[in-house]
Amino acid sequence: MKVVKEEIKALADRLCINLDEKNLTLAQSELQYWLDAFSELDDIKVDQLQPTYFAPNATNHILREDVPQSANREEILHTSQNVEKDFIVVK
Amino acid sequence: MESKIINFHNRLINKQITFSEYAEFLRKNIQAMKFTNSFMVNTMDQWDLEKMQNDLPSHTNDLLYGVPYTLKDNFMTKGIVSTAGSRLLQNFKPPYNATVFDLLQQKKCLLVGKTALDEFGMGGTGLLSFHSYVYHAHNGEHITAGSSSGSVNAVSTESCIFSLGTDTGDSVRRPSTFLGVVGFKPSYGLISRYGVAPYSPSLDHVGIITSYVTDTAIVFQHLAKQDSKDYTSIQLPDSNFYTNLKPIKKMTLNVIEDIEQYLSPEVIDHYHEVLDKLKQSGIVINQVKIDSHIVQAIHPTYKLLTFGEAASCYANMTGITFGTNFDLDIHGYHNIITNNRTKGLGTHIQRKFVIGEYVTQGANYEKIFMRCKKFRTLLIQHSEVLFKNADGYLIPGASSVSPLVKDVENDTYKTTFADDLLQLSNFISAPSISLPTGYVNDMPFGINLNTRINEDQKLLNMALGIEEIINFKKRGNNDQ
Repeated sequence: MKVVKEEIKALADRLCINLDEKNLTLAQSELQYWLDAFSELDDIKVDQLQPTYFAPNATNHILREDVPQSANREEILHTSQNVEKDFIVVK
Repeated sequence: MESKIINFHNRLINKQITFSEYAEFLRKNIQAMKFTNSFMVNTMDQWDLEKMQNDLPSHTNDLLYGVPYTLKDNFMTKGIVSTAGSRLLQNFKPPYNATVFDLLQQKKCLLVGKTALDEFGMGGTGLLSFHSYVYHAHNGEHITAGSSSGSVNAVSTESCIFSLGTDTGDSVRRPSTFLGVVGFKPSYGLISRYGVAPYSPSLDHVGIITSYVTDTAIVFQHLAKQDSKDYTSIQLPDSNFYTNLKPIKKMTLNVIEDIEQYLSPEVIDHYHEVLDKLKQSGIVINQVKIDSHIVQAIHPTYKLLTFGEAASCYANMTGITFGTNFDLDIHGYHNIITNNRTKGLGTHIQRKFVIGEYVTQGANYEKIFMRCKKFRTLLIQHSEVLFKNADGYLIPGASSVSPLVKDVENDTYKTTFADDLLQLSNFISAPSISLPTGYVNDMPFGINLNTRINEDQKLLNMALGIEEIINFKKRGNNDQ
């Protein structure tokens, strides 16, 4: 996965950040470094694993017995599991 | 069982010291460490010491009454500037308190000040705050590490008795190793994060920095309360961490086979000396092998996950809803935000946000970000080997002693896998504590001890046992 500078510029614009030339280059090389490091893990199979959102027992936290009866447990659970996705959708 | 909190408390109630005298002691220590740039704001002028002294008799059983402490500047404190180390929040006075600040206020603990940090907690050096570098309190040519840089300096120089920091990867524990203090990160959810500026919510923890394990337990017992304002908050059936504190000296610890290859030569001998001392005291040390390819995933997974979460969290830093509007002459919504974010965010943060944006956009969300979440699951599963047939596992507190500022500036200093291992307890949400063990090349150094998730009491008891065995004495201890 190769990153080009135009892509970095577009991402910065989307984030409402004016990166100067030096930092555009740095961002490009830093992103490339991490992507290369991540691609070294390509041979490790994780597709069948469930993603971990919060703590491994976060779901249990949300379904704990002392959640007020008036609270909609399903709604709380859904919100908790999707909070990161929601953040990203908002963006 | 050594404790600065108990010592302070006893001296107060026995009238061996007054609040005014102790305040003077703190001021001298703060002045002496001024070159470190550890304080963002000093709040001692808000103290009513006369009232504290007069109220003392009615609080004789309350160990935390009047104990001076500091807060990393990413904890929200109503009416007190809370910058999170960012220029964008340089004048931000929150309209509310972090839950932990409220809890400490209830005990009438005395806030000495807010301490410096790497911007939004996103850094491991102490050199990435908007206002200045933070230098090592015992040798200004070295870094403190970060991001809880000011907090560890403050505890180490006795400019406060304890401090609260945050720990997303190692931000309390690694700097604690470098400064010769105790750095503790509890299990995820045991201390409320409400009112704490986030870095990466799925990994963020509030941590406690002290001089002794007993002090950690005292503070932790008070803070470990379920908070309805934090959906990830839980309370264990028994949270009396100080009441139940008793040293454990019979234990089995796993250590990682061949970890020496990731350590600098100067710390290898010290690490072996510590292990020998523990063995001589009857602690069983077992070598375990880990899959080096799988644990190689720790570092890239950590970076890509945290940058992705951070970029999302700080989408609200526009200088309109939050933060400083730097230029009132600029018009247009997009132009105002762009100007504020470009001027207000450090360039290192801007670059990290770009990386975070990349891994969470479009198809990359599934391909990279969600794959990172799955790698986290894999690392959680693989960490079982570290706990197998043992009470916990022990690793060096860092791969080397604190590096020189110039080596970090020149990018000639590199962390290793031994440093990355600290991030594992954040992935598995388990408690972890760094303990001082001695000096290497005249710089403080330590070890890091870990147990399974929610075994916080066991961890503290084991840590107390090890603290007693090691019997670390800080040089130049000028305690009152």
